[in-house]
Amino acid sequence: MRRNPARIIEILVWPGIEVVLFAVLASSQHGKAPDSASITLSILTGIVFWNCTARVIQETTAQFTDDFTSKNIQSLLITPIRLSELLIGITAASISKIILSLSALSVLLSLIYPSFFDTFGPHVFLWVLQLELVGVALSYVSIAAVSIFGERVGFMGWMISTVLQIFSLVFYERAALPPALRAISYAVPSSYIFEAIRSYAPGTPVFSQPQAVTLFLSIGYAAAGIFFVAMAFRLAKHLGTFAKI
Amino acid sequence: MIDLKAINKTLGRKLILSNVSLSVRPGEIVGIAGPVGAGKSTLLNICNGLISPDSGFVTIINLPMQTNQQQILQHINYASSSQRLSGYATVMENLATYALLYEVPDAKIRLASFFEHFGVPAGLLHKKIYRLSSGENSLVNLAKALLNNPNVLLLDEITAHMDPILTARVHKFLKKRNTAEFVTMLVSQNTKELQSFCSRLIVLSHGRIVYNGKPLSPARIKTYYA
Repeated sequence: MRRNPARIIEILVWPGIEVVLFAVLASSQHGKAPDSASITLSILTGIVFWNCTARVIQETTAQFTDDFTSKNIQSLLITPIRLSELLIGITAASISKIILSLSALSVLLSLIYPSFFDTFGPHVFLWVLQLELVGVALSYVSIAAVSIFGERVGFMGWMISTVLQIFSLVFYERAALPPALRAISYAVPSSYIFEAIRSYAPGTPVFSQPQAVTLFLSIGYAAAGIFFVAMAFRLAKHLGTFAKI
Repeated sequence: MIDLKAINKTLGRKLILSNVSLSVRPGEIVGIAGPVGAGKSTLLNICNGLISPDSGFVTIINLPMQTNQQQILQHINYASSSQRLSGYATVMENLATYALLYEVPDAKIRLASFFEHFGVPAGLLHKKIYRLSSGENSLVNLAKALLNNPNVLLLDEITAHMDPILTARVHKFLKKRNTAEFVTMLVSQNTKELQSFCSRLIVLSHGRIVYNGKPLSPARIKTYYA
């Protein structure tokens, strides 16, 4: 993102506009019909928390695709760096940018919709952490795809995050999904988090069963993602993708 | 120092390298010539591990590539005129990152002396990569490739965008550096460069080595391009 205007817009400006738009809408609805407060809060919550997962996937993919397109990846891969170190580096860089983005969003949100942070307790931190973990795990799938097919599949970050949103129950209950999609949603870790967010009531224990399921699934996804990337790198070296850029 | 035995590589449906075997001894500067698509860059990329061969054995500094890649990569480096480092970071930021990856403690001193040697103004170090000219970019890539003082230096068309004065300086610098502990392999389409700079010439055509010996004149090199 560093001094790259396009990436600053993706990370800070678009989420900011989204939050301003929906926070104003929420405030306006809350003023007109107090009963609609839970719906508007639910939408706002969905937008804010969904950013945690979606932006990690998009940012990590964009960063890897940038290195791929510029051929910087060639220089990186011929250093003695291990794959795990490379992934940790890319992930840490992306997460640090997301934290920056979330901090900016929090400031905006507290200005526009001050009661937002009063609604939830310390649970917010655990939810954010777990949603980031889901994002990291799935970003490895898009890194694997870019490694094999090149920068032409750089859109994978957007695609994965968009498809994932359907199954993550960001704005609706699990029951709202058609049966076939509902079955898939059980395998999506973020769906448990958004269910927990919606059913949150003061006094709910910080670490509950949905969090445990999410953590278990996320770790499984992350392990599978690392395996995908390792296999993809091996295949890319066989296909010559890194050298033929 | 570099031993390739019976290397075969097919990319897509095209046979790129066919039964290529070669050995490079310490102190040699080996030039690789050949028409477009002959497999020159693929050969370098097999040596640096970016491409895995379909069959055959790659041994660098007496270590097999298949099992010792991490260890080998500490002692080799690669630069190409078409590579770009991270575009929105400055030259110095990029090179400092690579210095960390190669665990080079005195990188700043080494880089300052490198750029000073080539008469590059200090301002270049603070330029962003995407603002560099092609010649400057090649020089930065070369600086990156020399950071870990590699025993095996692989260069792909590194002087292609450099002016003749800079090219001569680069040749002089690399020749002086190439003592008994080092090997340099250079892919180039500049046949004059291959004749004057290299101690040995390899010509590839259709993925096969068609000449391996003393450097030849440009006219004679081209006779092997058929």
